Parts: sequence; C-alpha cells; structure tokens
Amino acid sequence: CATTRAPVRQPGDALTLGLQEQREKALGDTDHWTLEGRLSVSNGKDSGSGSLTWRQDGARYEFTVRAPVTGRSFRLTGGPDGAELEGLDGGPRRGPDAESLMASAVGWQIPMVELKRWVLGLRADGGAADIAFGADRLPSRIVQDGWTVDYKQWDAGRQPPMPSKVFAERAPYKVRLSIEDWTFGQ
Amino acid sequence: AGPARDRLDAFAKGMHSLTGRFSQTMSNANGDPGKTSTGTMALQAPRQFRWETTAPYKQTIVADGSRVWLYDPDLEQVTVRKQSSEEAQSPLTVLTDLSLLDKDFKVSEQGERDGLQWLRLTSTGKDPQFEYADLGFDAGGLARMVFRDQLGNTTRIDFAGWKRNADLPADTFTFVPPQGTDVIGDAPVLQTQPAK
Repeated sequence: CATTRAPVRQPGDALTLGLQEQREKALGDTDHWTLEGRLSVSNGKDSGSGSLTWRQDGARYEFTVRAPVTGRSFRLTGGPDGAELEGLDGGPRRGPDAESLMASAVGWQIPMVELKRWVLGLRADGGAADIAFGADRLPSRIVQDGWTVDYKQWDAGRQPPMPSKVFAERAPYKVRLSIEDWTFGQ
Repeated sequence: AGPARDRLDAFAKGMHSLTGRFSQTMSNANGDPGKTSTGTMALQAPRQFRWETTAPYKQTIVADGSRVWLYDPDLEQVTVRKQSSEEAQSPLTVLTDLSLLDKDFKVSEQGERDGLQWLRLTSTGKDPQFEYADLGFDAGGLARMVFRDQLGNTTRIDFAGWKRNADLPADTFTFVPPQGTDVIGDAPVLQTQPAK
C-alpha cells in the first residue's frame, strides 16, 4: 500500500489560522449531519470496534456501532435530557450524559462532546487548543483537553473538505474513526 | 425433520471445512438498507474461522480456535481477544458442528420464501445476542442468513461459491499482525526460548 510519509505538522500562521477560523464559522453551527464509517475504541487492554453510524440532529444524537459479521448492534441515543445505551446484555442503561454512561456501562472513554467538533475538523469549544496544519493547509493535529487528535486523511474532493481518518488519543485511551460517508442537512 | 432441516443436514453432514464468498448488508430497524460489504470466508471445525472483507473497505477477522484477531488497515489497528464460547456458538460456526445446533438453539421450519427453504434459530441462552438467525437453503446448501438483533437491526448475508472440505492453506486460520501495526488486547506471549 502507499508508503505513509511522515505527517506534516506546521504551526498555524496568519493564513492557516485564518482559514481555520473561517471553517469554524462556516461549520460551527452545523448540527444536522450523519457520518458513516468504522470506529475502534480501546483502553490499551481491550477494545471494541465495528461499523459506525453517527446521526447528529441538533442537540440530539444517535450513535450506532455494529459488530462485524453478525452485525449485532449497540445504540447510544440522547440529548440534553440524558443518554440511553441499548443492545447490551442485561438491557438498556441510562445516564445523565453520553460520556458518563459509556464510561460506566462499557468502560469506554469517548469524549463525545468534543469529538462532535473534532470529527468536523474543528477545535472544541472552550479550553485552549494547539493546532498544527498539513501542506494542504488543513488541520493535521489538534491537541485539546489532554487529547491528541490526528487527522490522518482528508476527503479533499468535498467542499469544504472533510476528515476521513481521525485518530484521537489520551493514554491509555484511543478512539479511531475511518469515515466513509458524510451527509449534511435534515 | 422438515425440508429446510433436511437441506441443512445434507449440507453440513461430513463437512469439516467450508469456503465461499459473502455479500453482507446491514439495515436498521426501519428497514432502510445500509451498506453492503463483500469478501470471502472460510470455516473449519471445530472453531476456526476467517472473514475477509475486501470491498468497499478491507478488514480481516481470524478466529484461530483460541483467539479472535481483527485487523482493520484503515484504522491501522489489530485487536485480539480470547475466543469466547459465545463466539464459538455463533450461528455460522454451527455449520461445522451440527451437534451445537440442537444444544444451543431452538430450531423451527419457516417454510419457503424467495425460492429458499428457511430454518429459524433462536438462542436458548440467557442473554441471547439475537432475536433470531434465519438460514435459507437452496439445492446447493446454505444460500442466505439473516440475523435480527435485539434492537431490530438486521444483517443479511448472501453466500456463493461454496467449496466443502477443500484442503486449505496452512495459514488460513492463523494471523500475524503486520509490522508496525498497533496491536491491542491479549496477544499470545511470544515464546522467547523454545518450549522445552
């Protein structure tokens, strides 16, 4: 396969930071989208993975992971009023928010609120963020809230370009997405 | 037994290994079809299994009898975990070990549909992963499987090109992570000194 050359990570300059601010303004309140691809979440010891469908409808979300082969599915749904996780042995589980529910129910550490921004190639709200850019002037790395988010691949065929491979890590946790499809709007 | 069970027994009798092609489509509870992926599979009694997705993405799953390896080149990662008994009893591995069928599943004839004779398997386990797994048979044996999980999502797998009891290359059910790939989970401790 293609040799993976070392990622380019140039610190932001007036041009790239300006472009990023424009991107964040343009996409900042985009909150009706669906992402399809594959996800793996791990804590260094074990991991869960499968195909992912993530639908964001305003503040409400539906995050479905399906196991390979049999397609057995786990679904995390919720919004400001709380979160529900279905498909686990022992029946549905509820929690105040997605992050705490995933951590308590399956031991997965997924920064859902920030990830919602990172997968769009945006810095999360609040909190300082270091950002580096590739030769294509698109983000190649965002470091925020202890997480290092690497943009390994972009789908530059779209306008605006969208991330197609996002690897986030905060030792010992890793969240990796390979995104095959983006759909925007209702 | 009924027509579908007869076809299952004929298909599975004396079978210790099986290879073929698959086309898998996952659709959600309100039935709109999701993505289709295609690839090849191999099964060997008692618990070995390879599921190689080739399009639209690459993914390799190998159950070597004690561990299940999952390699996703796009995610640049291999995950490995002990092969649980629950995995071993999946409706697929029943094909190479019919005795599992009546032990772990309730089996009922569903009659003819889409030109296939259907058999429904419902797990007798405490926390079944699936509401049911339907096996559809044509004259050539198992043609289609449909899994419906507890959330109403279905996975349909169509099979083709079955080869029964072919001799398989030695490494069919072994997996060695590619150099430099992130391996997560309990990989076997590599023997540093030769076993005495």
